Amino acid sequence: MPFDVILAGALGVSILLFALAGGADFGAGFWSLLARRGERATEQQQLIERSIGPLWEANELWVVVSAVILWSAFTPAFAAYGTALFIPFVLAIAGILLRGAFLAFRIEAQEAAPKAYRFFGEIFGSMSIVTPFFLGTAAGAIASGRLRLNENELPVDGYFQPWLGPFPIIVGILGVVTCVYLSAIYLTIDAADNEPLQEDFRLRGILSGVALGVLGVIAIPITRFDAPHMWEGLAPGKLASVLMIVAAVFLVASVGLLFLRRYWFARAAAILQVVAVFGAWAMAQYPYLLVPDITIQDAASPRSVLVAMSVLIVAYVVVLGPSLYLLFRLFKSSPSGKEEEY
Amino acid sequence: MENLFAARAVFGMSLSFHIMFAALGVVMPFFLLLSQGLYLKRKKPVYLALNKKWTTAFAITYAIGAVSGTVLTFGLGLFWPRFMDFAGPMIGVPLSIEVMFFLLEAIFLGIYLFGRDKLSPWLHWASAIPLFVGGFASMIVVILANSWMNTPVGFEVNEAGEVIDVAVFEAMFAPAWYAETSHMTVAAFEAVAFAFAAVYAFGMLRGRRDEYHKKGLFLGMMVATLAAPLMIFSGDHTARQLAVNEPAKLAAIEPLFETTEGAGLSIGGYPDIEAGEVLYDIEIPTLLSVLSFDDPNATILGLNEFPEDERPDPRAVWWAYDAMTGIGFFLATIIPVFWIFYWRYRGVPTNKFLLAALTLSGFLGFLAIELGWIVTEEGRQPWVAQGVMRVDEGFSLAPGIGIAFIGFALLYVFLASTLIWLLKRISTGAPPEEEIEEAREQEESEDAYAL
Repeated sequence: MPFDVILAGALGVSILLFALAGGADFGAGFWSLLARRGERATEQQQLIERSIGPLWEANELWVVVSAVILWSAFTPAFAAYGTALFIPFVLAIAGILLRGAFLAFRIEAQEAAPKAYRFFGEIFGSMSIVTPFFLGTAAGAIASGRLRLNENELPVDGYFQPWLGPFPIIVGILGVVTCVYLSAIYLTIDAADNEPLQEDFRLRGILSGVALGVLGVIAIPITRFDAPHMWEGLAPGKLASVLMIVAAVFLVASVGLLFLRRYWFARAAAILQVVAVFGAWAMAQYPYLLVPDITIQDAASPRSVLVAMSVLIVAYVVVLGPSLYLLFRLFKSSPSGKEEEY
Repeated sequence: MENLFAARAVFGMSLSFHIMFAALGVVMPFFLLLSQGLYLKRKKPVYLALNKKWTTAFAITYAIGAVSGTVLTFGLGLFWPRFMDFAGPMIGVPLSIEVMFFLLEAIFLGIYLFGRDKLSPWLHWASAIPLFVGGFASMIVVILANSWMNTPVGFEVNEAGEVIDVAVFEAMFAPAWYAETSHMTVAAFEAVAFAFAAVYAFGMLRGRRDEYHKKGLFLGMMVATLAAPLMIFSGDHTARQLAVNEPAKLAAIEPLFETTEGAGLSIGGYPDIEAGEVLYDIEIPTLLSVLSFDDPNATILGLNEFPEDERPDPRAVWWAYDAMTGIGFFLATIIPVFWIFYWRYRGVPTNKFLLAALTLSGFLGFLAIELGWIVTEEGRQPWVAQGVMRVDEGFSLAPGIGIAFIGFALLYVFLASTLIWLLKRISTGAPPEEEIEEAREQEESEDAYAL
């Protein structure tokens, strides 16, 4: 059994969970930043808080899971990312630090310090954009082949060139817009008891879905000339390219379902769209952890560590699965929109 | 700014920031269980009022702990990539377990914070159990990683210095593991318990005499009373562990320059590196040998036993060690004084000096945690993994680390000051429910008289 591949898969799943759960919380920060004026601004802010308040810490920690899998099972890749992509990662974690702290401050400030509430919200909102953007550029740099290492495992072209390029930047933007789009769709469901509010986020969901589609099309030629390995991986006929088409179909479907006010189905389509994109990306990048210098097999830790980590992944599922089920069951309303008591 | 210095500075700063919230994150759920359990058992509203306030405070401190922990996770790769490249397989497994428990804590934090109205009271109380277990277990395993750095074992390297095989369990339970985990557990409970007591002692110092403050102080002191005496044993055990597994660290904190048979315990003073002796200290004959090996004639290794470039600098640690131990004994002394007053005045004492001392001890407990962490980290220098990898082989070569250090320093100052400001806004004394309840009780008793 190739434990390295299993763990690479677990790494991919943890990043996907971070995008679907944590990413949407980051997107909510963007919407909070926009909810300044207008008659429903306060209601929108409260909806955002109610929606992400109980879950954001757990949601955000998936990125930490990715980090520990990477450093235990694929240590050289973690070291290479940390060195060459120092700048985007430092900015991303500074964003995580500020955003989380000020979200917590803001929730408590509502009663204790109403004057500071808005200021805290601005920090939370603006930093929510910073993190997905820089994580996206880092992912773009890793997949594009722009980042080459010399024999000392230092970046050949310096510390900016790998991530300050067309492909990493479009991936950063796509990352932000994906978060924003997921968040708008999730919020339509959390606003089920308030129709005008639901309409607000329906419109925002449609707009951001369209923006995501347009940006996705723009990304196609950029991928071709700036991320050749990805482009090859996505060549017609390969499974990854099929997944990309599936993703496009789900994106169109989710926007259409939003238009038709079928919110639960729209959310399902949006999630499947993100899953499809991640699947396609993973396939196109395989077997590299850093295109083209580090493969999964090159970076894999000694077998005993891989076995221990694989066992641990099972423990993650067994311990956290039921806990998360309980959390979502309690705080995410059922399709009937009724809140349950236990 | 030099990268080595900047990497050490940014990491030292991040850890000393995080460690306070980590301690709070482990022990505050215990206080939540305690206060809510008392409320559910005895139905006294004061316990509920305390529980609600602590829940609010915990929501904020946990969030800071979670995000600063995320910074550290990434920070290991960002600031110490060469160390991680080597040590990742060994310390990665405990740290991965840590993240699992941390996630468990985060999930049940959400349930506990926002589930008060959705769950039945006992079920809500029970949701704090996995919250506590998650925090507690994650602290234990994260310290396992640190104990590997102090006493690295369980791996094989090839000629190129690459790790080729790892004995996972051996690496996870390095020789220092038990001393370190137990010492930190007791320290966390002691510091947080005294901090809780201090909050209410300070309120009483400012004239508050209500049930809310008295019960808050009382609960803090109950937990502190269990922890502080244990700390004396734990400290002793930890020092013995040093004598066997980390003799250079023991020699540096003491400090002891020459290998000595029947070594005395040196308190205070100043280590003169050039002369190789400690000036102006108080020395208790043979005590160090007795404390380390139960034998007044036991030989204790001195710093001179180690090659010159492999010695920790005693000037970096001896003061921290002495101060930490001093605080430990001070805190242990306060406990009987408090209970004598309690017994004498039949209730929570209101003596000004005692309340002031308790307020001070709230700071001292956390200070001792920071000092202990300085001792264990500075005492290992120049190694990042004792005897295996030097700190100057582990840091990042990326540019901009100096800027990152300054940036994070400003961020932490900003976060800490906002946090303190907000906590002050929240600590408004007894909350309204409590006052309403008191008024209602008074009314009832008056009604009873009227009848």
